[in-house]
Amino acid sequence: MTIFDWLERFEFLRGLPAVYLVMITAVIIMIAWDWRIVLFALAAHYLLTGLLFVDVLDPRLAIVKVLVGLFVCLIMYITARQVNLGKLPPDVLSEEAAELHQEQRFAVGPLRIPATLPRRLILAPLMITAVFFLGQQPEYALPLLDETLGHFQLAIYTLIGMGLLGMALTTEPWQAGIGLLLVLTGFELFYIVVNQALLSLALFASVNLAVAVVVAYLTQGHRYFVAVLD
Amino acid sequence: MTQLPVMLLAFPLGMALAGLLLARWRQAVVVVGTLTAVFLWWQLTNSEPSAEQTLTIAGYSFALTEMMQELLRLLYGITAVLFALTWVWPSHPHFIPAALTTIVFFTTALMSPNLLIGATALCLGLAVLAIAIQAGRPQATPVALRLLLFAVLAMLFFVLLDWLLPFGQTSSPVRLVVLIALLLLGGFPFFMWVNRLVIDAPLATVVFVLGVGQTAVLAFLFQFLASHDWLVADVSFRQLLRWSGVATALIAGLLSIHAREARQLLGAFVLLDMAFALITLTFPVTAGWETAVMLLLVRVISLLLAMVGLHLLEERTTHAPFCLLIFAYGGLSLLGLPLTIGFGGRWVVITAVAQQTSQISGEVVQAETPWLALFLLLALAASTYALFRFLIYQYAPSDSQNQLAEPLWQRIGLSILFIITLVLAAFPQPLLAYAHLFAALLQ
Repeated sequence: MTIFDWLERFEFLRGLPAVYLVMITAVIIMIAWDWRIVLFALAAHYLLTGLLFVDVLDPRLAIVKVLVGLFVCLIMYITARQVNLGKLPPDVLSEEAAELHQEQRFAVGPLRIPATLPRRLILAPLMITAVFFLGQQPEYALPLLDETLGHFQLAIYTLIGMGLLGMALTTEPWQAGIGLLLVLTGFELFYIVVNQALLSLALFASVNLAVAVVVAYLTQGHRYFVAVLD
Repeated sequence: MTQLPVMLLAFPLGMALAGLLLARWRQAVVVVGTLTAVFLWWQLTNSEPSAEQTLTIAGYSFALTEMMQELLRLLYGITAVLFALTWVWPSHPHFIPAALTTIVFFTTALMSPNLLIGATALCLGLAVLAIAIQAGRPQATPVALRLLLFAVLAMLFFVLLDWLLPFGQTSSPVRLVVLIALLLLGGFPFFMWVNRLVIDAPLATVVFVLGVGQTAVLAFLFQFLASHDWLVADVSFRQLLRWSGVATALIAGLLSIHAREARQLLGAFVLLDMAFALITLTFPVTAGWETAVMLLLVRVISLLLAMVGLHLLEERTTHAPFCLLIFAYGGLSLLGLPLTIGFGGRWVVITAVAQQTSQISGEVVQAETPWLALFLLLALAASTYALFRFLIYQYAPSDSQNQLAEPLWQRIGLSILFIITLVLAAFPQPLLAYAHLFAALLQ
């Protein structure tokens, strides 16, 4: 199957349905505490934004953005597995790892829920509400988005807003990095409307990959147990 | 002739890779890094400046101008000294490879006339700098993360700027440039990473980030302003940046008063110096670049002095007057008080901000209000008070019975260092001439 066959198969998702699904994935990324769910939502986010990019770009260029996104997910996945994200290694006690200043977690039955979850549950819907409100105000309309691309505005505001909120609510580099990647995607959605040059596509791809690599390094260093235990 | 540009881009990357492979042997990494920096400094020194030094990649040209050559010579010179110092005061093995990679990205940014490519390369350089800052130390992660965030946001604003500039001289590009400058130069309210960096990071990392890194960023911004000088003439641009600089300076003054430890104090002093560097963006481009280079040279020397003294002080549990003297003089130079090497640059900025009109290197600078200068002086006064309060505390009688004197070789070495900087303070002509050279090359 070619790219065009896949596009034809998912034609029903293009436009506003893709935007709503992108918003749902952004909310899941914000609220979910298990890194597997976050990463799955991030991968879905890149696939869905690929459908949005196709509205502006040649599908053969839009697929590059999707591939970059999936590479980013792969880098984040390997990093999370290597550092055993969300858990301590079996031979390290919680007192020994206190210096890490990890996010506090509370046990609720079999689940270990982060202490920031109530805040996220309140702020995520507030952000979505704010985005819907802003999107309907003419003075906050983004320039150069004509009627055929009006749905982009909702996606752009959501991704940038949720990304910034995600970065503000955590000190963990892995989660903050995911927020930064959302901001980047939101900005790319806007910029691609005004400039479809190959140069800008290449530069944004390199920045996305660089951010993923740097975040991976920072996460590894942040959970460097040898230094902590020594 | 493309040999030198290719060497500047490819050779450090190769050596960075070698450094990564040798990471298990710290001394080997130091030797490789130092020799690389020295070799590139020597190549830049012996290379004749030529208008033909361009490199073309995928249809985009990268030009190595005379000014870039001189600037890179300066950066590699400083880097060589810092790498050598990691032999005595070690950094993480990843610091040297990350630093070399950062300089390659900075070189690309400075050589590219295309704003999009230059801004992206600058952002990538700062992202790799975040790696150098953390370098396996968990407590440095927040600082590294903030720098990464600010670098990416600045890049996005650059991209918007690149799109808006062809539409004419409107207010949006002005605000974007101000935001970019604040993000990249630690201006209010994006200053929180500076103090933490000085408190947590090793000597080489601090001087590299705040010396080499900030020099490259300022050079990029001045290069941009040189081709869009209408921005500097814009009143709102000058007002926004100057007031942000003053706000940053006042916060630095407050931080210094609250400082209880030497590193916190030093972090506040560096933030104060960065506030002054931010204000130089509001001067006419040539004059501003000359002043900025002067401030940056002084910052590197003062920071090196202060941190060497601080490291020696931290290694000793008893009084060490020579070490304290070097730390104190470094701090005073960072503050820019009279009889220090920092006085010249500080005086230029304050007088330019204070006077209604002023002549700087033959160019007229328009000032709006004397309150800016008064607030800057207030911040300086607060920081000076904090430094002397710290020194008095250091000289307070201690109960220690066995006070070992500093070794003779250390006292001689520190005395020589002190005399050299005193001579530079009394006769700053070499520093002024070097800064003037950069201004001439920018034209």
